[in-house]
Amino acid sequence: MKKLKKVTAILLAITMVAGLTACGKTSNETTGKDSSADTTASNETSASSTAQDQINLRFMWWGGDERAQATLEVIKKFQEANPNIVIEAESLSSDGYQEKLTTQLTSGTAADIIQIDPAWMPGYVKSGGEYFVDYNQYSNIVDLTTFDANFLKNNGNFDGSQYGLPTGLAGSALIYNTELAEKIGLEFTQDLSWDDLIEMGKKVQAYDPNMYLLTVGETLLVKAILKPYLQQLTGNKFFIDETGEMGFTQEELVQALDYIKALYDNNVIAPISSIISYGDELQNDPKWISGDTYVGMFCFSSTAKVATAAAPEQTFKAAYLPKMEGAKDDGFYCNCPQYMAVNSKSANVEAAMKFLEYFYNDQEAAEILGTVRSIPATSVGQKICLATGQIEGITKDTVDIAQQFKGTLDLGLSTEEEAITMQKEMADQVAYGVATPEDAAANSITLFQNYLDSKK
Amino acid sequence: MKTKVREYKKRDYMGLIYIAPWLVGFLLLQLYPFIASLFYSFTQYNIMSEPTFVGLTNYITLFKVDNEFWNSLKVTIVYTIYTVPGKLVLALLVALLMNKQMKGINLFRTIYYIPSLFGGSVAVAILWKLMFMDDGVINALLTALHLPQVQWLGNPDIALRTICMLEIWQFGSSMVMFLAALKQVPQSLYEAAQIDGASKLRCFFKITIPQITPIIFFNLIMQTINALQSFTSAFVITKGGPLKSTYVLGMKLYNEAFKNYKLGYASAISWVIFIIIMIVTLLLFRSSTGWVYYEDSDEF
Amino acid sequence: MNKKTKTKINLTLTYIFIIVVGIIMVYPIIWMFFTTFKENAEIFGSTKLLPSSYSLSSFVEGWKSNGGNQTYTNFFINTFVMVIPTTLLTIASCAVVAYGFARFKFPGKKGLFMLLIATLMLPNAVIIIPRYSLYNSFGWIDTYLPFYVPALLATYPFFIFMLIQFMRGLPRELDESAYMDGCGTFRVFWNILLPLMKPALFSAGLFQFMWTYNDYLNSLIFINSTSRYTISLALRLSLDSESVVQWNKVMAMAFIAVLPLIILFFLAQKYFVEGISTTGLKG
Repeated sequence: MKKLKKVTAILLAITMVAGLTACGKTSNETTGKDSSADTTASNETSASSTAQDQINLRFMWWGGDERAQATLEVIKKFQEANPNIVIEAESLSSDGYQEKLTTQLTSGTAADIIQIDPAWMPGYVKSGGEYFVDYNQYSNIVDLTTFDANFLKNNGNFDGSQYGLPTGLAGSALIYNTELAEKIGLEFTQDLSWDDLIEMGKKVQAYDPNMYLLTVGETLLVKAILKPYLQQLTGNKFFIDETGEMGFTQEELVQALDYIKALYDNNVIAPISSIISYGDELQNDPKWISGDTYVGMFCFSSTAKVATAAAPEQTFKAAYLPKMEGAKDDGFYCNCPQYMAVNSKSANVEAAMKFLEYFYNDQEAAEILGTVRSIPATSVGQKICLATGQIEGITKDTVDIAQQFKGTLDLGLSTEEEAITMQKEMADQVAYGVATPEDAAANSITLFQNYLDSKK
Repeated sequence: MKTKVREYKKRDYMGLIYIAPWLVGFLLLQLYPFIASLFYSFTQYNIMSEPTFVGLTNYITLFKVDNEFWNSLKVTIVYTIYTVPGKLVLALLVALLMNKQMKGINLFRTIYYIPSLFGGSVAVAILWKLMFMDDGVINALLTALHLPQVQWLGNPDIALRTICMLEIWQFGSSMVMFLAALKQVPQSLYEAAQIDGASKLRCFFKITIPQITPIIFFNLIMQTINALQSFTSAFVITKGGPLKSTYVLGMKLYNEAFKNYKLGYASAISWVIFIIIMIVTLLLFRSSTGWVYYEDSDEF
Repeated sequence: MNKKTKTKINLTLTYIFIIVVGIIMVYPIIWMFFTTFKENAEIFGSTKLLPSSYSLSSFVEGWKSNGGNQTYTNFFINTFVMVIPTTLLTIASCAVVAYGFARFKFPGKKGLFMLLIATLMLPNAVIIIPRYSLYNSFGWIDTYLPFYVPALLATYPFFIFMLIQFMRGLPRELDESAYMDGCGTFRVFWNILLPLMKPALFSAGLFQFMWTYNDYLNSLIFINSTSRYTISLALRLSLDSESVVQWNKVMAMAFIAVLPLIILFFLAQKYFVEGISTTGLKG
């Protein structure tokens, strides 16, 4: 007991001291930070100068084996042609990638060349960190004319600065197992509507109660159902970046959530509890692989190939994306799966640009890369892939369909990590049936408002 | 005599030199961060810019606005309530059973200890995830036994328990501690009790338990502190889901700090964790006079 | 039923219980081992323990990691480059500090000792953010210094405490007689006490090795580039999205990851058990 009293006394004392000394520390902090930035910078230069012309670059991306192998092959070929440049590859998993990247950007330890999700870019740009190089300043090295000018403007351009180069064309996708669809007598028409999905889902259940029309992961539930549905309903982006307001009313949100509820209540979508442990990697679900439970899946055109490859014995087709009658906006759109960005703190921006020129505009590179980052965004890449027949198949089909949808691109406030988390949580609550659409909407609107306020 | 005292004193000052590394470490890596996190908790701070003082805003948001925090707090407390007693009771039970003249005791002690080797390792978390998937081996076993399958990871009411099981599975280290403590109980106490005609049960409650209470107490405190900060298993196995049912405070802290980069807000969470730990420890200490048996040993 | 048969039945029941629980304890690890030989289809929905065929390909394939140019060779080297110095520095610094506390009566000792005990209960959660910001300003992020420096500066009160307890058990007469012979304090520590402390140091080292080896949170926060990844981080990476997870490869690497601990445990079991038993006893 005596000991205890001492312990508490000490802790109390510490707490009090804390209050007194806390004020004095900020100034140290700044000086420390600045000097460290200097030292790391000087370290880097000294490291690179020791080997004379040897230039070291780091290139980081996320993705599966196929993408990793192709990318490594391209790096190898590039190094053979440029013996003075060594590229250290960092192939990561998409899960946790953003946290890592944010840490690296803020601590100045990020790679020179960075694959980045379009959804994160606005946040990084807005934070004022000046993290990325404007490609326009290096257009003598990287040929930007091979990109469709309009596409480039919509992808990676922020107030005239091209901070990211799109790697390819992609969008949300709906794929289905042709054999099962035929067996059950389902038809995925060109004018597929949201309500059609429910009717088709009921038909599947009537055919076999163990089967479902769709399997949809948490992220896709938000990105391919909730948000497009709302966007078609309201004609607005989820959060309107220009005004910092929500793009919907409470009634409209309830309506969208009601639809999600209907999807689950009618077993159109497989119960969320049965797929949640696969996260968004539904291709890992043995029931998907065996191809006897789910007719279709919502995915991205950049992941459609992986999903279909997981079930090699099945044949798949791309379906049209759903649209409601009298939609005010297409809801879906074709953008790009990732950007390539160059770290502004990089000591070798020119070498990085040189690599990217090879990566984007070299025929050999285009042939190796194929469609590992979806359909290439450059005319060079597209031509090569067309010639080698790599552009055929599910990736092309899904992109073709996505390109027919001209919805407003929604990247910004609503795609920041924090916002996505809130959206997912809201959809999850309805999907699990723990909250009514009314409650979930009311609750989330408060949260959204707080979030939007904090961003002002 | 006088010179001797002085000489000792001089030598004893050497002690300060020996503890110097710790003193520096304590000031720089424990006391400073401790104070700094309290300071940060009253600021808005995102590493890219300097902390700006915002008063109690973080705490007010935490307690008044952030439902997720309350959920995490609940999850963490439930996790602690399941795992700590679960682990200790099981450890004590097995230790008591093994505290007999039995052959092969060392082998079993070894086997029981193995899971504890892995602690919060990712390898075991991944193993757990695979075993408890819907189509995993555990459900296959249940089917083989004609029992209904369970959605170990997908059902929000169950997922936390699945993670607790991983923790309880690692009761071996506590068990080894208890076993060692049991072996230390002087036989003479039992002999004396037998002469007095005390029953076995009485011996257990009046001798065995009191003798090992310090160990139980030590374990209780340490395990509670660890449980309140757990992170890896929830992070790897369920990522906090489904429906945040495994979203422990440790994860909330990590996400706010290193995902959303709200370091000030995260510091406020860390202080809440700290204060909870203090309160729990205080309560345990306070109650300990009632049930922990201390031998008189005070060197300091 | 006489007393003898009763105890016999009792003992048998105890054995059965202990064996059954024992099987539950190790079954996951055994299952993990055999799973490394199974295809995904063989893993899911099956209770079978033994695989239909044995091949080391999952180990070979898994070793290459995620198609990247980092292999588990790198990850293992990284892990040991991180863990071994951390362990050695911890033992060295904690032993010295424990010596200071256990053998000298310097002014303010009581208070400092109480502080030491108090830090035993200082949760990592409360200091991790300022530490991160501190290391960040030192430029230590993405190096192993956030592991080495706390070890060098003896911020592991648990081990200090454990070593103090052990040192108290060593007779002070040893020191006294050495002083008589004209030894200095460091000589006493180095020549007399340290050799006697070997078992305790070894136990402390084992635990620190194990904890650092298993650590995930700190590595996650402080290590960024794959070229410095440790096994924990690499394993998490192996659950990569966008491809179908080959569980046999993942399990193969997970098994290899836990193997060093199992081997170490069997080699040094005595120290593990002693370490645990002595630390708790006077807590």
